[in-house]
Amino acid sequence: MGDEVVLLDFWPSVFGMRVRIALAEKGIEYEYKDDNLRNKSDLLLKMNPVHKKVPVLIHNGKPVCESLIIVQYIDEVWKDKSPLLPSDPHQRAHARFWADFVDQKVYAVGRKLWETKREEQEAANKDFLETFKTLETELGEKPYFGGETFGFVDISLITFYSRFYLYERFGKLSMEAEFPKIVAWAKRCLQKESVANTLPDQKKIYEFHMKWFGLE
Amino acid sequence: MEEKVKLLGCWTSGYSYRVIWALKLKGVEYDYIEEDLRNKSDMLLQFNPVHKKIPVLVHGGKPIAESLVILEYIEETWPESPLLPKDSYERALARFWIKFGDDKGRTLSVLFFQAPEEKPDENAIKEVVEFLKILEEKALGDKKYFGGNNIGLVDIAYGWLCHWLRALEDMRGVKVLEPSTLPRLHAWVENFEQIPVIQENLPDYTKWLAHLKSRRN
Repeated sequence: MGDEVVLLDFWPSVFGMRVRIALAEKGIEYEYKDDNLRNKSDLLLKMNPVHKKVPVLIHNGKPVCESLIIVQYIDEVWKDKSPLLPSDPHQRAHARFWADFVDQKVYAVGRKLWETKREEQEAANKDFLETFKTLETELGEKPYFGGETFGFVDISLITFYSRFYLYERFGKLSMEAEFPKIVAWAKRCLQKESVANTLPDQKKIYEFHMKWFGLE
Repeated sequence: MEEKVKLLGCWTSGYSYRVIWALKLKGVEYDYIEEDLRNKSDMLLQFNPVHKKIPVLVHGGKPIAESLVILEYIEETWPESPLLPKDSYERALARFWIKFGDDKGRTLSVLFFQAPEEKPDENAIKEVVEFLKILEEKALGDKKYFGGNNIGLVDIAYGWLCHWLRALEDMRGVKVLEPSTLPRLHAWVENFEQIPVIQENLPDYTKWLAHLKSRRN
């Protein structure tokens, strides 16, 4: 077909992982380039001058930035296989709403667990627990957030599973005990090749963060 | 038969106006319900239990929340008078610029919600001007509108640069969007405000300014 697809990413990025999963779901061949965010490549600076962040998908030389925008782009361009968003507009809106919720909350409440000062730890824990409680309620008894099939919301959230060990250590909590449905959902998602082949091991992510943020 | 459309909004919210503009540009009939944000209705709490915020669009009894999610829904449900490009790459670019504004908007509000007696934060002003420069150079360029020759969702998303930014400038005694430094963006504001649907659907400026001032005291 002559499509040239390049992904600029950084292996521990939860946002980059979303794109890797979407590309795998669609069976798209691409070149992966790992960019260390403390030593950004010229290519990254050229392809995402506004934010200088990963992931960036470069399709036939043209860059697409912001992970959920990239996932939607992939879904629209490679529309003949494994749809990631539902076709019904109301269900699509529902999916966008929850993916937006994940974006607004999950990254921030997770980070606060290890960034916050001792006195604020309780508040940070509370926010974290509330956020995941909301997600667990939304998931309910469904196999996936989208219903019967793995989709947009699942992709937006599953990458954070790689940080669960990190959350447990800093939040002094058990994700399985607090959010059994979420953990069961995550393990279900991991049955999919696209997810299993993308998500780094939780311990590896934990060690990376300890070094990167000097938390040791 | 067309299903009923309801919009829960608030005259003080720029997010609310985005939805009004999109609905009116597409000629969609709807019932508007003004919410008092200090005394939220049961209906609002029922339709948006997660965030408890306006705007909420209700179509055929089913609610949709978050202004950008609503805009995409409106675009898909009423495809006449399209507000997003057909080309996937151009759509991705439109979404990128919309997100850019919304993400920055949260940090920009710091400048304007400082206490009245505090001198305007110089760093915050610098950041606002930087943001506007990027918008002008990279998002707008030499186009009449962000959407090209006709307005689109990006223009609607940046509608707050009109009334809302002007009011904040007046309140803080600070000018960030000037024709001398940002000629193309300044021209965009004037062009955008002259579009009939926009002109007819803006809050009264004096009332709006008074409201903003009272909120800060």
